[in-house]
Amino acid sequence: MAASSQTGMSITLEFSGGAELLFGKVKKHHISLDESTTAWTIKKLLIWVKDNLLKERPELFLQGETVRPGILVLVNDADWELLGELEYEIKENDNIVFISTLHGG
Amino acid sequence: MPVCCAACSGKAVLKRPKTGDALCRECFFHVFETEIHHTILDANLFTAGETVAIGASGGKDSTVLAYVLKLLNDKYDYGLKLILLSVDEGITGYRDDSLTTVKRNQKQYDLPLKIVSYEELYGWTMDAIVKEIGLKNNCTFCGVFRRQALDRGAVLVEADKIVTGHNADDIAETVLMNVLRGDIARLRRCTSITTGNEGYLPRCKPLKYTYEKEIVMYAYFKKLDYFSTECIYSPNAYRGYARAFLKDLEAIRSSSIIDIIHSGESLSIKKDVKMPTQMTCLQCGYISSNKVCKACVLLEGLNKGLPKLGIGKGLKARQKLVAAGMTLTNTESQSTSTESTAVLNTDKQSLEF
Amino acid sequence: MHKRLRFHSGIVYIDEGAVTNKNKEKRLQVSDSVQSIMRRYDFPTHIATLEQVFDLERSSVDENPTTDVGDRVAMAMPSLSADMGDLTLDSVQTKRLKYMLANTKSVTAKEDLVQILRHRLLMDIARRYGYDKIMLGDCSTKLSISILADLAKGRGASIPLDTNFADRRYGDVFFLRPMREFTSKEIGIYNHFHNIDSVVIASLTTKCPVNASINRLTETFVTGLQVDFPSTVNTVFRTGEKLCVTDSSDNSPVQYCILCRDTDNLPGFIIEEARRRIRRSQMKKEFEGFLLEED
Repeated sequence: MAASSQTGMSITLEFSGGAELLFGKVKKHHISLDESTTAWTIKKLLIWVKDNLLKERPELFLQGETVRPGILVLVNDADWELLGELEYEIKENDNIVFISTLHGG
Repeated sequence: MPVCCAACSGKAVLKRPKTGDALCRECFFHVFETEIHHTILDANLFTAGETVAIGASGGKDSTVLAYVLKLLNDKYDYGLKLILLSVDEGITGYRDDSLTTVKRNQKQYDLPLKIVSYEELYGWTMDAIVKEIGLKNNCTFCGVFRRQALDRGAVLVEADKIVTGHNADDIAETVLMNVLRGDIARLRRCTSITTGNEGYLPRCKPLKYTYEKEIVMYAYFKKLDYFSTECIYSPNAYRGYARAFLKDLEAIRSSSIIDIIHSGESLSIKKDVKMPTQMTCLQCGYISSNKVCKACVLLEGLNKGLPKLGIGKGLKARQKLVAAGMTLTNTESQSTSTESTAVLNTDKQSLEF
Repeated sequence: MHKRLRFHSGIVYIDEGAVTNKNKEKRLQVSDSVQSIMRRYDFPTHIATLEQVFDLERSSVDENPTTDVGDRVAMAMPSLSADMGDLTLDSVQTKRLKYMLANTKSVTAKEDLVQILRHRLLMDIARRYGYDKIMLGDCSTKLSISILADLAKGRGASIPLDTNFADRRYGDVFFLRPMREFTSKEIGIYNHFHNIDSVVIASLTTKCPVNASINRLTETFVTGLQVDFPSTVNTVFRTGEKLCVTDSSDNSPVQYCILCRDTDNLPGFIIEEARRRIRRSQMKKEFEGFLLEED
């Protein structure tokens, strides 16, 4: 709590491997997350993404409260499975990549 | 808290689904490439001096396959002549874009490239076929034609073998599909690392034990140039169910994919179960489980203006063929009950060969 | 009009309340309702609790019995009862079962473990009371789920034993599946029309999300697919029927895993790895013991 910065947090989101198709074909998104009393976890980010970025068919990106199985998540080029997955606390300037493995080829 | 690499105590970047080990980037590359090398050695896939055609679609699997094979061929001195082989199905806005990727790969990896098209082989592009048949059974045509097209292309470049980018996830999915469809003949052979013999070019799958997740990670960390869009003629919905099931299984127990392959490899089929016998097509000489192969039936249908001919039960289709004036020495169908529907999805529908 | 059964039958009920942490009262209550149903059928009844599996002498189930097995098993077994009240429900063995399950991390493994223990206990009861066949109520719906779940767990080689009509892997006593040709829907409707009561007993995954275990996920997958493609269960089931146990080329008898009775002939490197891990854990234990002594 009581974050030092008052201006919110800017991070980068990238979607690739076909996942970008659900986000208006835009691969890279620079976003700013509002100041919040609770920490920004990936769990919370996914809800934000669903409400603010996702253009169509949320079921192809999310399943329950997590990403659909088959979508890889990397935080600053490291596998989120090493970082606590949904519970990972996002930091300023984090780069979070979502790669779909579900399309062919 | 950074996690350390299990092998060298550097900063780990990924958790391997197969083993649960956390690895750093360099150790991951090493393990990934070495595993494929061992797969190739253990199965005796290649002999020095062979010409190997890499089925290249521009997608992640075949791109990684081409990159790694080139690397291993140099590193371990396999002595292979590698050629990229692409099939142009004639799908505007999809295959033309992915072929651009393959052409870039050709330059990046400095490998020769051969493209064969449905149009030159069959006189029909997929765009034209879809105009005839609609969007319902087009994948049947594409799958059947692609299989032969790769073979014919490989013969043109005088290849001894074809390698395809089928990964562990694809094979596990095919095992599930064959159980769900009751296709016992394909169930038996779909886990073989090398298929096709008796005078036809062997096809190998060096990525048979490689997880899709690792392929995507490898391509991402190596910044490999690949094409990722779904085929515009929509992949098979039923296969989608199997894929989703597989991914859910992987989420519960990540070894599931390799476990399914192991299961598939250890199945035994009762001796009294009827299997389709392999023969050669009377029309084109291609290997077939019927007197006339599926591709010829489909093609004959297209050319006679009866595009639905090869769709549905095999016997009926072949009877219609006779009615349509195709000459057959014997019209009795050898197909088993599962044969007709099964041809639909032997190969991955969208990008993969 | 009823057909006369030409064999002698009994009914066995194994209480598994300890698995889902049910207290004594709840377990007695469930067993009362099961018994009240069992009594209607005029068959001899046997009641056991799953934790009694720990009272079995190790070799009584692991190996095919020799002629003196009757004595051996009788010695090894505690008294079985026709009444749950006589059984201790919070014994050392209950604690042991709970401890074993608590240390089995995944729900999938817990479910599989319970199934293994259940089959061992059934086998022992059969031998002790002179039954030579054990009938299970598995229907085609359940078996097609088992086929896919076995595949997913790497147990493809065991599919024929786990799902075909007769499972002879224990030698003297067979497991039979007489209900295997019916779907769960047929059985449900039959029971409904004949007013056949049943007792619903919560399992490890009751009220859990669909991805709680491989078995649970597979069940959801098969039943869901069955709605859109009504031939799913039948096709999967028939595929399973075409499979058989690997025939070894050298005519040697099939080897079974002593824990789970899998037939799989594992590649050498896996067996070697398993041995290595066992050695390592033994060394660790010895090492810990050594440290404790030093303190």
